Amino acid sequence: MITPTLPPPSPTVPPNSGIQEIKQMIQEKVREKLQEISQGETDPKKAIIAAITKIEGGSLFFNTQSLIKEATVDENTVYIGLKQNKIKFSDLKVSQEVLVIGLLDQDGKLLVKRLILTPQKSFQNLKVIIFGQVVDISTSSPVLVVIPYSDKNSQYQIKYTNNTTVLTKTGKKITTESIKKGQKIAVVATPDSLSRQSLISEKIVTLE
Amino acid sequence: MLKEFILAIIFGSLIGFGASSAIVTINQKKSPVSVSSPTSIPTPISSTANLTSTPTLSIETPKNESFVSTANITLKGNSPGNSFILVSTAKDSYQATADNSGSFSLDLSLSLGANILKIKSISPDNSENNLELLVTYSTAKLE
Repeated sequence: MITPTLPPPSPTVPPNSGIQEIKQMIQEKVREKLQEISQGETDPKKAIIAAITKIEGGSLFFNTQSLIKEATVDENTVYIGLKQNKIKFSDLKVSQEVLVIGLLDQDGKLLVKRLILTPQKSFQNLKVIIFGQVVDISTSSPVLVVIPYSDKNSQYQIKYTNNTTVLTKTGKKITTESIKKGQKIAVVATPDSLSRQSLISEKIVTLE
Repeated sequence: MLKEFILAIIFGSLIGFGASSAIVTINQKKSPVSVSSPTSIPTPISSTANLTSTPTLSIETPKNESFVSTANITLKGNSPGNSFILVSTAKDSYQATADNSGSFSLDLSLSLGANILKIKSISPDNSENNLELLVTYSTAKLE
């Protein structure tokens, strides 16, 4: 009697296996990245600013530049409204801007402890920091003309007021009269609503 | 009988060639998907609006998106050696000079809630670096 020898069974490969593999690899990389964030830091407390894009069960999904795109809530989560009043999970709406404070778990998910409705403009930092060279000092108005090192083709008119602090690099207080043409300075300023190229200085530091 | 056998071979070959070229064409169409780099996941830079960073300025503490329970914190970081560093919060600004190795630290005060820290450094050869951090200060207990 002849027994036919069968070839060893080969694994059946579904046609989309390559795509599935890539999907799995991407998912693993994303998970690794999130784990890096959660494990690389000893403190799991995190706070992100975001806009709610989806509310599903006990989960919130965000539009945010943070890597944390999803969070879960539980019965201990506290919700604070725009008037610092307590609100409920059911009061939350898609597109609301929020400050989300919670604990990051090993999978990179945030367990929300406090969710505060916070318009992003309420904590914006509109200040501008400029490093540049003084190319002119107005004799008729309290204005310095500065060319920034980052863009030598542009220039700013830096207004100074009685509220402007002028310091040396070591932190010694000096007067605006000490600032000389050609000097290297650092400026912290806010945009002037009256002129696009003008800034109102809060602090000027002479760097040489 | 022989004629039928030859016809069967020709017919079978035609079907075989047709099927194999169809499979090759489908696979060629699929190939751009399979060769796309699976590991090239875009790395988000940081959180908060327009947060950007450059590799030669880094902050050790506080971490971006951190939550602190005291208003006064120490910011520690690294930059090119002997750089001058300016930090602005929404309510104040602070300055420091890095040592020869590039280490610097400065004490700053936060406002209650979310704080966006703008940090900018300039090296002795006038090269600039900047980054932004989100640090939230609250006295609320999280545990």
